[in-house]
Amino acid sequence: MIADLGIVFGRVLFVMMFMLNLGGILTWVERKQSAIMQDRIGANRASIRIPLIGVRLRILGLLHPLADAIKMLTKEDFMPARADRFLFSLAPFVSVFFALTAFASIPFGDTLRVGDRVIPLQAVTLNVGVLYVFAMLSLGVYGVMMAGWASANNFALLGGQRAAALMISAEIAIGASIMGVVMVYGSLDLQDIVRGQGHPLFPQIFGEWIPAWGIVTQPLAFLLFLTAGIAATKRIPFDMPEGESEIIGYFVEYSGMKFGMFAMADFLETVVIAGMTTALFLGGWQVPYLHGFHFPWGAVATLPQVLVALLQVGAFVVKVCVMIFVMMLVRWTLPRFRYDQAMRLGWLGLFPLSILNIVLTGIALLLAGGPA
Amino acid sequence: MNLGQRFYLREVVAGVALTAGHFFRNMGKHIAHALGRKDARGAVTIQYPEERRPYSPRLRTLHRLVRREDGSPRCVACMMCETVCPARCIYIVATEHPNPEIEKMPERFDIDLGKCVSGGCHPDGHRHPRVLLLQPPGDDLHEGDPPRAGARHRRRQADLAGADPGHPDGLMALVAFALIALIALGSALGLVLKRNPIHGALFLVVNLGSIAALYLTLGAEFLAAAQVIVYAGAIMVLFVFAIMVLIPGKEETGPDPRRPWRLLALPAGAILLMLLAVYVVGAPAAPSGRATSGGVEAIARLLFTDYLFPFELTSVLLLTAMVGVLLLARRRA
Repeated sequence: MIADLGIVFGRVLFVMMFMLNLGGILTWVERKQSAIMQDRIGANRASIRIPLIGVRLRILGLLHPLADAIKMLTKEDFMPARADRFLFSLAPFVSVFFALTAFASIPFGDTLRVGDRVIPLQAVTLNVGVLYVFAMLSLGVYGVMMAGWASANNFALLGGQRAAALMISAEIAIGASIMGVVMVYGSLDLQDIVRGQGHPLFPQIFGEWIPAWGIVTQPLAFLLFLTAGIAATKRIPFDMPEGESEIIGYFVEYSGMKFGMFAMADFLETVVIAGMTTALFLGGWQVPYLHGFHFPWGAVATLPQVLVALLQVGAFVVKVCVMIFVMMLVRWTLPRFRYDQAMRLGWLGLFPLSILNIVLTGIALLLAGGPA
Repeated sequence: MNLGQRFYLREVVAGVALTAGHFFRNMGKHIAHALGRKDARGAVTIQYPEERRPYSPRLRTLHRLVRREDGSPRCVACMMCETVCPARCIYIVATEHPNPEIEKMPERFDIDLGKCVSGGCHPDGHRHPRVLLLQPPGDDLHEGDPPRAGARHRRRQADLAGADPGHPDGLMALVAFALIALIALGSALGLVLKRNPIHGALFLVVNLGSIAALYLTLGAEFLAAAQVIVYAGAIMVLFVFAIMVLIPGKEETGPDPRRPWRLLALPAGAILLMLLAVYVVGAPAAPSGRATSGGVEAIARLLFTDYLFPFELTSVLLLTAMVGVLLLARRRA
């Protein structure tokens, strides 16, 4: 009983720590990656002096997130006089809460066998895991809307409204593009979907060389999901809720750690979208060509189960990091869409295309004879 | 714009390829630098206080008066710089110096930096030996540098919130039910009693969420997810959006002209309550345990077999509503 509780606690703790640490490090990644892309060096001045020796530690600017946190926590926590006091304080927590909980049903490994225990490497095992992540993402927008409304500031209100409009149009494309993947792998459980991606694709034609990852079986859905997912994170090129050059956005009245929490929620949502993309399209925790550790040319490697589990978790983390890198690349390359352009893209571009994807997938599945 | 440009994806790929190219090239240089190839530089910027850019021999920069040991300016008001300056930005008023060994000193020495062209013209074409120096920026002359900002450390404590474990299940089901039911009832009351429309809408969101949690405790995971996505996630977002945009304050609308109609709520509510009571009393006992599956397959099978007709009817209804909305919007536009 105690051991079971401990295991549940450990699974949840792993996901929480993964999310929070990655979210913190992402502020550093964003600074450094954008700097290197722009031929700069990037933030590297925050330092800690070791007492007695007097050596300054800079560690490539990795102390900047820490300095940020200290700055945010010690700043004045300002609230406008006409603000809705309760909702104003609640809004950043709502944002961070749903961003954090969204990751819970994304599997970071298959199973870990310790003795006679089989531990699923997933914070929560849900048979509707895809829908769960989707639901949590869609609830996150309430934080932004509440912030926009409670600030008693028209610019903030505009930001909140834009966030709502953007969220609705992105969400529909996300839901419709996921459907193709769900049809191919025949399940709403993310763990099942990831397992389904471990099989080779068309073994009679390609041998065991091409894994049936979502990006191979559903390339259109991958593009649509990634676009809509970036829109759901409210970051450039879809940052109209923020629009720092025009309306400053829903957090215009926020300061200190409450402002920091909104920034953190954006980073956490980036991690969630990267995790979802990994699980749905990049084979999740599957190690490429080592599925079951049968090499395509026939050799077989047997590894202890713990090592296999560690490799899987490692593969998942690496894939999530690659996806985050790609999303950062997009964020630091493209200019912002105008509000009407983003709406047009969502309703006239992504949505019809994802419906088309569902139809095409249905026809393909009929011809191929059932889900993979 | 042609179709290729409208599609935009090609441009996105081209742009990302460009920035990614920069990233990987610079990253390779940074790594080579770290490995000892000191000539490889991944950035065009310099690290200012530690690193100085070498000055060009053609550099002409701003004026700075050189001072004596006691702090007074070394200028002897010879007027040569004022004479030679092409921009006429220097204005000097000379006066006698109290020290008889020194001829004169400036009473005023104004340099209008708004006019200055940083020409660097000098009476003799060189740096003036002792009076007015052309000083490249960064060659700090003044002794009294402010103390380095990082010299003193202030320690502050950041309290970090710990993580909470999830709730256990099993025998706790009843407690969980009571808790969720309490939240559902409370939020429903809040919805009815709150005068602020946004607060009411948010209470409704909480209510829908707690109903979803009830579904979850009954094992109907799909229903719970659908409830959250469709009602709490999509419909209520639109509700809140519409309230934010459209509902004005009470001072703008005045009192509700149809206030007496609200009394109709009493008989309607009473009838609903009676119907519910009759249904609950007359309902067969709930099947014990989790015999019925609330999974996707079970719901899909029911929807596409037993309840196909109502299901299709509902979709036709929604379609009709959608077409109607389009028609209304077109007429308005």
